Amino acid sequence: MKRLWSFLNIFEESIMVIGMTIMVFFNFFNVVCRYLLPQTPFSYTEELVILVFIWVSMFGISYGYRKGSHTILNVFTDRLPFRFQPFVIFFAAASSAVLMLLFAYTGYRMVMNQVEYEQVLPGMRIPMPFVSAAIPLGAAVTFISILKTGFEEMKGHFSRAGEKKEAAA
Amino acid sequence: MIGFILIGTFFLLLVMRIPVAASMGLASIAGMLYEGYGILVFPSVFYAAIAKYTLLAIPFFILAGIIMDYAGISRRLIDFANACCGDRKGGLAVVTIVVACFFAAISGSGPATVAAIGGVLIPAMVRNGYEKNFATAIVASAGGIGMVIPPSIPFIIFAMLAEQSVGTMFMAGIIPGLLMGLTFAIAALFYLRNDKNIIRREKSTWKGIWTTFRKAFWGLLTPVIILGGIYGGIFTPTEAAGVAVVYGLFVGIFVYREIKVTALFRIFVDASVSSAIIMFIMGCAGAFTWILTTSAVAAKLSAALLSVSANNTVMMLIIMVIFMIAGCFVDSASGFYLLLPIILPIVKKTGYPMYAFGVLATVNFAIGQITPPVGSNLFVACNIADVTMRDLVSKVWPFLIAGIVCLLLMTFFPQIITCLPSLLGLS
Repeated sequence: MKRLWSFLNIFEESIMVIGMTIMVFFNFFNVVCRYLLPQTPFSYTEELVILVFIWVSMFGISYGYRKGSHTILNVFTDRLPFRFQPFVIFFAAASSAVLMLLFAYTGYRMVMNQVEYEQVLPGMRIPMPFVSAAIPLGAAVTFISILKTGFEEMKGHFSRAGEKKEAAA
Repeated sequence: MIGFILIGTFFLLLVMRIPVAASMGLASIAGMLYEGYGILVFPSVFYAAIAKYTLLAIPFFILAGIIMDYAGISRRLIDFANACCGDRKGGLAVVTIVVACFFAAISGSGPATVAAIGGVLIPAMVRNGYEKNFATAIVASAGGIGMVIPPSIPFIIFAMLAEQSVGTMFMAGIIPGLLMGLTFAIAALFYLRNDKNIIRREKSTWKGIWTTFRKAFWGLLTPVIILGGIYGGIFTPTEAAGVAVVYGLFVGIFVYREIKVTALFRIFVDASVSSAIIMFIMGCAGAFTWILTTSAVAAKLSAALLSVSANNTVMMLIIMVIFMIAGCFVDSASGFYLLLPIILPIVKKTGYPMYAFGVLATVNFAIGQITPPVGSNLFVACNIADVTMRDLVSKVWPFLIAGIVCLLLMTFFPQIITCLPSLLGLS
């Protein structure tokens, strides 16, 4: 199980690092070429960079869930009694998970639609799903990340509860 | 009814500790179901909200900010500012604000600015006799300038939503950012006026100032390249952000030699995650706005708000209060998506210049970053300085007052915002 998570970490980190590098490279060379060459060799830079950016963002969302980086408002829930915390953790994780499940499903339908109508990107002339597949895939991975984080939070809560009991005894 | 579902679901989920973005996403799905559009439109709207070339400036500016931090530029800027004005009473507080203004010209976000300067300046202030909580409060507040002085991520988002020019907004942000710095410095000095514990350092020689300037030169050149490139017509704001990344890498690896190639991996991951978090908000907020406008809730709310008062000044003040309250709970990206569909038609009626309003709203959210319960600068500063939120919040009030004074000045004298762009013929 541990191997799976470290694989997921490396997988997502690689997508982000490689993606960012491609984005920076093409964006910079577009500027350089505009001034050095009579005609820019990559007319499709914008489209390509956006494509990569969508992939980077979708997997970054999942990574952010695992690292607890998304902005949350916890002043109200922190004031709830300790024994209510498991419900808070469950509800929060379940809600995010439901969103990602719906997102993955509707995203999948969107991609299938594009496949059916053979939509292509106007600049690069490659099929649309090369970009849009990032949405269902990213959402599915995020779903897994949410379950993992929720599970760990729950475990953390109950180990704290155990400590409290010991301290009381 | 639909308005109630949208906003009610959003706030209910928000207080239940669900991420801001996910709360908006779920609320918009609830709205889509209620209105009978079905949820299949959700991914398309999400995709359309983030697949925009202008938005690519966001990951690039975030990346550039992190690179500059790793390159040791913030430390050199601090040395330079310290040599210039560190010897006066409360000097280090002023240095913090000056450095925040400089770093703001490299980075486009508040928390990034806090992270870049806080690590060095908070311990330095504590060593020199400043109260730790107040030192942390200065850094957290000054960080807000990071999103007002260009480059600025909220400006990019506002420009896209309100169809304004990013270049004009960048130019318009300079004076308001400096004004914020000035009022913050006054607030800090006023607060510290009777503090006997502060140790004053000796005056630097001109030679000392020159040496620190030479060391900080490459960092000081960054805003010149970014803004010069945009206004010189050499590249677009998005391209400028990409150029800033390459420039930062060049300076960090070859000039200052502080970035190890192995650290690049971490830098790129951090930047990607930070921008992905914003994109998650923007995608979900895009869906939220879509349902808010297609179901005509936005128009109804605008009309309702417009009927409150016919006086333009009163209207602007009401809008400022709304943004102030929103700033306590959400960040600028979500706030713009939530409020702009309702507020923009009203601003048009009042005749306040649209891009200037964007600056004003951003200043509002910059202040919102130091107000509880959700103040991203406070969170970052707490982590760096290892102080509790409660102690920190009790020390930010001088800066809150200073910020509100700034806002009022800009509301009544929009010339503060518009003078620079109109001088350069941009507006």
